[in-house]
Amino acid sequence: MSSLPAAATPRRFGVAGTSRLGPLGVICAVVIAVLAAVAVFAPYLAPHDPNALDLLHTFAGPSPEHLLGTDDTGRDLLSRLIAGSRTSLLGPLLVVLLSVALAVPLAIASAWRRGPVDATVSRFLDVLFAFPGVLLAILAIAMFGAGLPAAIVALGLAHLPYIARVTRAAALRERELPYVDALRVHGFSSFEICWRHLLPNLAPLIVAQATVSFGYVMVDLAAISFLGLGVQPPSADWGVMVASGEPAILGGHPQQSLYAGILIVITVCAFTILGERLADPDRAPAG
Amino acid sequence: MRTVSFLAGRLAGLAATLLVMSFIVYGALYVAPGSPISVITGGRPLPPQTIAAINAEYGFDKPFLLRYLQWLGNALHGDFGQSIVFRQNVSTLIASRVGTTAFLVVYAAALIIVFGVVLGMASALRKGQADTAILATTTVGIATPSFVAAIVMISVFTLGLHWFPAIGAGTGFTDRLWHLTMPAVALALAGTAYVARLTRSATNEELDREHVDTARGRGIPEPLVIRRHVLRNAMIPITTVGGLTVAGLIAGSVVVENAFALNGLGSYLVTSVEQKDFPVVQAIALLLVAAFVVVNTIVDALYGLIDPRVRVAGGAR
Repeated sequence: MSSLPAAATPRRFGVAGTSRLGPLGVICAVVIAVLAAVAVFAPYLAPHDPNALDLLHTFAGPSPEHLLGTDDTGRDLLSRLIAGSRTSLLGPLLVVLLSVALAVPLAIASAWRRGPVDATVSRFLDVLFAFPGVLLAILAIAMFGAGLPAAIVALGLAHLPYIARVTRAAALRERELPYVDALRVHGFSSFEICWRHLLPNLAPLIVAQATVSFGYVMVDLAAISFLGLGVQPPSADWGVMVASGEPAILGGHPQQSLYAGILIVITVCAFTILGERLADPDRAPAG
Repeated sequence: MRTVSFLAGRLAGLAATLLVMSFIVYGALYVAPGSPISVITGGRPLPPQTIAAINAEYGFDKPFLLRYLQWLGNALHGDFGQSIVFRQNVSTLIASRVGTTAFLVVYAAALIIVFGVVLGMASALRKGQADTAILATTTVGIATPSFVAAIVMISVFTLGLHWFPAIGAGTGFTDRLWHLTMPAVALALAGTAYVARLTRSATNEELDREHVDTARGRGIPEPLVIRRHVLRNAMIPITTVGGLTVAGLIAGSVVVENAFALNGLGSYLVTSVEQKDFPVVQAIALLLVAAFVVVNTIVDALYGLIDPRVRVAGGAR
């Protein structure tokens, strides 16, 4: 294999890669790691039962007992935010995994075969592209009823073209490189070249795009839950918490909505910045 | 000649996309589990004659393709059938709500175009601290969902300062402008940040080009270089992405209308989904998607008219 011409050096992740992310990129990666840890260990971290009512202490301010206070039914806000991190992060993760699983094989196949296959796939992507994600999700919910599953499948389809376009363009460039011809001459099958060589070389780009998409998907999914069509109360979810805290804002208790909203903004920021850094560490805006 | 065939091609593409969209919208609810009759009857057991009568009235007994074509034909005449919940014409129910949504979207679009482009240019041309500040703000802006912006603004401007009302769409132009200012800002926030980012990078890219150096070398005054050589070229990507961002507002209005309790199309769509009022869901979904696709096509065509290279390449394909 060493005699084969080298492909464009793939970007490596890990310790050596962190310097390329810049300080802000590293901070974002740390924020995401902490959020993921909180979501995984949520039941052990939450100081109270997130659904335990305490009607004697509604809208309580911050205290040692309730660090962030309580909501309109006396539930501990901190515990609810911690418990809510699970659906709030798991939902977008499933959407992105679904998009990638569908988009990458489609994009590589269409770039590899070109011709009519490519033309058909491109038309299909154009149509999907022309359907706003949130509307597709609402339509799916109208079909199958409120809840996360319908929204996840619909948003997975809606975000498919973004990942597919980036992957297809990169695959078209990659297949023209000399190492692909060399592999062909050596008698490797198309599938083997795509799976063992093309895909690993495209992986960093796909990961970067998926990271950016995660941020946007999170906004969409939280919006669906905010509308009352996604995660159903009393389940704790950041989007649901923003919505259920809204009536109390004009009564002077904006805490629940604000805390959940701020968490959404921080998470989305972390994912979009990290995604941009991963995609293009040299050209991403400094800051 | 080329321009005409270019525009004709885009129009044909628009018609084809709209046809596919209408099929998806109608077909999606057709395959939905649970028969529409159970929604109408509320699950009560009814004599077979009554069910047959309902079937005939709503046309449930006809084959799918026929029903789709009939629905599409009627929709083209502005007839979307009867609301199952309100027993009124869907078009009447919708018509009273179009105004609020249209006002909101146009207002937000104006905000995006003005503030997005101005902030982006300031960021690229000023550099230094202004650039860093605008970059930081836009990064947070892009990541802020409209409903989070909504609750923050309600907390600050309604609860704290009593400047703007938190709900309702108002009557008359100025009252409406006042009522819809916070919703429009919430809707426009992410788009403004995005367009500012794009304007910044497009302007910076153009500033680095050789033709700008040449113009400066020829002794052309800097303001003229910026106006004629930098901004004019930078406008090409700004028009496209700005247009697409504005088209995205149409879907985004659904969320903002709910956050501010506005009686527009979007909030009615969500209510109708909850009530399983399928004729209304189909009508609003079709309207919003059609508006989105039409705006997209206009942007696409504009792009071709601004930049002749697209037209020529498109014709050669």
